[in-house]
Amino acid sequence: MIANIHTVLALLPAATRARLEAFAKAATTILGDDLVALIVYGSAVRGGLTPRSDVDVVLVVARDEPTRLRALHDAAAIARVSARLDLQVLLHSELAHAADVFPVLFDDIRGHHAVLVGTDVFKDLVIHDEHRRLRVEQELREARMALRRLVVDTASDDLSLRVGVDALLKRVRAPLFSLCVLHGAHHKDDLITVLDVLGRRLDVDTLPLTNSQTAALPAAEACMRLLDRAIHDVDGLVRA
Amino acid sequence: MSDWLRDLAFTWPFSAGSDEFIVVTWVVALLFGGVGVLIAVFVGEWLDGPVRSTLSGPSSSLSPSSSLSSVAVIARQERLTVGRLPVGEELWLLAWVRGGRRRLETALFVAGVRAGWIRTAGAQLVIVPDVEPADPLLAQFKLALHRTVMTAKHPVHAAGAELEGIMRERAIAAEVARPATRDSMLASLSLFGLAGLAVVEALYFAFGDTSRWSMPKVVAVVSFVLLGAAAFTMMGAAFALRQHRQAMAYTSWLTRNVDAVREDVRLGLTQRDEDIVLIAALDGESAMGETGERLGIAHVRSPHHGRVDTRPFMDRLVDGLKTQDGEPSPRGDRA
Repeated sequence: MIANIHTVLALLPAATRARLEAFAKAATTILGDDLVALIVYGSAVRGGLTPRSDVDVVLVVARDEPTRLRALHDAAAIARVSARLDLQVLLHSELAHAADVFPVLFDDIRGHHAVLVGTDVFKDLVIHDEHRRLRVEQELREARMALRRLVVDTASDDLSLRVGVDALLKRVRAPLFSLCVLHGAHHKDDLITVLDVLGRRLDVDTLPLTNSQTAALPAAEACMRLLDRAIHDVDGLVRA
Repeated sequence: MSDWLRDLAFTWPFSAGSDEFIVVTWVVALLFGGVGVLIAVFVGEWLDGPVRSTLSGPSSSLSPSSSLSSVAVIARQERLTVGRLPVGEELWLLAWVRGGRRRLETALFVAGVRAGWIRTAGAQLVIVPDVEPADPLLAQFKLALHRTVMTAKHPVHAAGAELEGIMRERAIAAEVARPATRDSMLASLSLFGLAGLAVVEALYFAFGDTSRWSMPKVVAVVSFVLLGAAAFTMMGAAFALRQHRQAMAYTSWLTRNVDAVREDVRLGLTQRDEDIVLIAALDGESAMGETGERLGIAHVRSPHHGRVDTRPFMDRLVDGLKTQDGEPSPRGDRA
């Protein structure tokens, strides 16, 4: 779903908006005709942007000459330290070919985005379910491994474990939503909704994950159960 | 005596009585003093030259990204250019122009902890001998720490003192600090107004109506001139001899543009060395918050004046090279 950029910008904090616009201006000046699109996505468009959220931005370019890209360094670095601008740079010609390996990312961008500069290059992108399924499984398995490591690393630090579990949940929101899409679901893709829908579908109590007051270890255990069942579920789709 | 000098005695304010002239002296002193300081400010800024900035146009050179394990080289006179984040040696320059030697010590110390050659060992911080910093100034700082850690009461301050001269030279070469000769010249300019006042007073006492003056009033006026000299010298130091125009413009711009990373460091949400050292250099250890706690370099506030005191963590430093044999550190001896 493409959002109106003026609505998106109006909802951003004034300082973040100013810095985003400054980056857009710098990118336009530096890249000229090579700038195909500058697109905002993630929580800035979907909703749920907090003062500590990253502002996700994808820059689509026609050519990726290193000298031109290096000229973006100052503007990108300042946008990062001043407004947590998280920049991805994609080549316009690679978008269609990359949809098989980045289906979850592209789904996420396509789901909620606003075009700051240029044209909407994600509108007509084709993403196949088999690619989506493979990528979902990969990301969920990676998250499961990361969770094991997190538990090991934070043995005596409950606060870090809880913070880590929350960060991991943010990371798996997109693949979990893609799993819902694979099942034909069409609902909101915010974390609370995704956890609620999948919790019911996979018979996992997700309350310890959504309730920030839950202790670290029960939250980690609930996250493990959810990931295990989601992996089993997505793995079963290939056999189906 | 020429006619115009004789006429001066009948012209205000030289025709004024003593009380009136004392009031006039105050007003004239303020005006002349203010003009002197303003002249010094403008001359100082003119000598500093225009502010280097990439914001008004494309950068003349591409700024490399840098980490503390690699050294970014930026031409001296391109350093601390508005519109660009500091990298490599610019971080030390930033710390120095921002907070002098103490801020430089903090930035270098934090960089040492992040780079791993200062490590927490129980209640102490140990200088690890085997890790060699790639950055030349960090390497010098480590060497100085090795030299001072067993002898100086405050080894970090002692090591920082060794680098002060180097940093001053670098800052002048990078055109972010004023040479001492320029400072002196501007201080003289700020007293220019006072010279004007002295001329007015001399003319009054030579040709004005001094018949109603008593000695206490003369003493009052002369004292005022002397007090004025002291006051305008201080004003000159405060206004005309402020930081170099480039340093002020850069630190002001940077301070306004690091909100997100400052918050991330305070809350311990970033692990990027360059972010953490940037905030240490710009805002000092008091801004480190959660990150400072995690690095084992938490600051404490002095009960007096609420001043941030870095000594408690910095003074827990011992030399890993000299404590490897398991001998107890001499910390207790020096405490």
